[in-house]
Amino acid sequence: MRILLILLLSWAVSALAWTVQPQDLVSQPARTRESQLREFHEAFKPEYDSYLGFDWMLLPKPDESRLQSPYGIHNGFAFRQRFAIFLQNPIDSSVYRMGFAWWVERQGWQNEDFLFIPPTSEMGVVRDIHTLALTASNAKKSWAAVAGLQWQNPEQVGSLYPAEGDSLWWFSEADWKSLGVQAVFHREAWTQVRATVELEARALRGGDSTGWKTYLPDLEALVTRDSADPLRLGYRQNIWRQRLYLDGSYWVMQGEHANGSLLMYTDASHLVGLELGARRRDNGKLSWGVGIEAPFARVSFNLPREYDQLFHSHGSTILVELHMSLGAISKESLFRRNAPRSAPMETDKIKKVFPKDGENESTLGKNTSIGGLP
Amino acid sequence: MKTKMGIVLIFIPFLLNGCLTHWMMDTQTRLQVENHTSARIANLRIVALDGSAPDISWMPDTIETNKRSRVFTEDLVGTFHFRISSEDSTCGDSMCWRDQELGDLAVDGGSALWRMETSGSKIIVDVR
Repeated sequence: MRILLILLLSWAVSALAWTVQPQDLVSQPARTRESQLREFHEAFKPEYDSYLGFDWMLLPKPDESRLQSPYGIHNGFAFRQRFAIFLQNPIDSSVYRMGFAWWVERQGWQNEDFLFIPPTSEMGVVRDIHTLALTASNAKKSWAAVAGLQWQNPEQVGSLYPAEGDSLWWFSEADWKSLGVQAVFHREAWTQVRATVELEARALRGGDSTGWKTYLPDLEALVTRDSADPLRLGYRQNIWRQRLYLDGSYWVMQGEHANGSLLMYTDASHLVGLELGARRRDNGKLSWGVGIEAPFARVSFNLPREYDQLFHSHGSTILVELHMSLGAISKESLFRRNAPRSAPMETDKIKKVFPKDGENESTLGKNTSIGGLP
Repeated sequence: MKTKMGIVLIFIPFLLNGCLTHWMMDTQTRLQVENHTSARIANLRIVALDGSAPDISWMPDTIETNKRSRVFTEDLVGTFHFRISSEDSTCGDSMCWRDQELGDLAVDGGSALWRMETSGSKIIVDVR
């Protein structure tokens, strides 16, 4: 019976397998640049100190990401390797802080998988997409100003794809408390503007950790110039104690094009979570997916955001990722990008047992020893 | 200590991912063709059916009847649309070549021997 089930499952998986289309490889970088800026906006706040993230994708089945070319179907691998870092420090121990950020993604398709040095094949494409930024902020007044650039560098573009060279975009961002505006420029013209209103109270940014303010939504509007679908609206809402969220995106012009996710986390640091997602595609078809995220690994099956970020992957794509997305404020708090509160840390417990003088009304005398410590 | 070892052990398969798949997967195909048709065949190639991309020549040689070709290696694994040219004797004294569709054929990497046979007016491939 079990063998029959496995056979049936593997048949279903291969029957619904997704093939990468060359036009998806060509159109992907624009979506990647947009998501890098969104991630940067989520990871960088005046109050935060640092962020470190990486994603290293593995498609366990070699027939999962075959390439559909005019010649036929090529066996091979779609790949995405990502790394992100952000650091900021006070200037002369003042309230002003300066920092830098670097987001990089290497993406494409090759006929064999690789670690650092990509193989060269006629059908392959390898691209690097960088987002670099310099930041200035004031944590006390909670404002930030950012200037940066996005650089797209094709390492190798096979004969199947239109020729392309390096490209450069500039971007700037201004944030004040819960408001943020981000604008991207190519040569002398703007290409994209994002406006965000993050109303949800985040304890990490000095807001409440409980109460009605934590139930306010985060709103986003993204305007893309010269696009068939220029306006995207985003909505994110805490449903239960900052552990259960509803997250949705809606493309206004095409209407039938929308993403929705239900996110469940074990605690408000969002380090461990489960995601249930649904996507309404251009043709009105509904697809669903599920993903599990832990501090160092992520497994997903057919999630809507994979459709946007991994060359329109769909069908039954199983993705295993070596993954990290960790923000920090000094050594005291660790949290996932965009989380409202820090993870419960061992140092908090120690502080409760051994309160510093004056930090707490201690019931223990100063000369009393606890657990053998003076 | 145990946790650290555990993390290292989890990372190793990821690090060797590229190496491990090479044990199981080929990215090249070595192809040899036997001509069992009554005419000479030549120029085995992969074509884009919609004409949107130039042909990829796999075997430019002409293969005599009942002869075996040399081995040609290409960096291709997958299922592709193949076409071959076959000599047409109906042209009379001036010999001419006629294109024959072989259809979608799978090349799975490693070595393959293809026997070209005639079935009616068509050439079919017997994969050995």
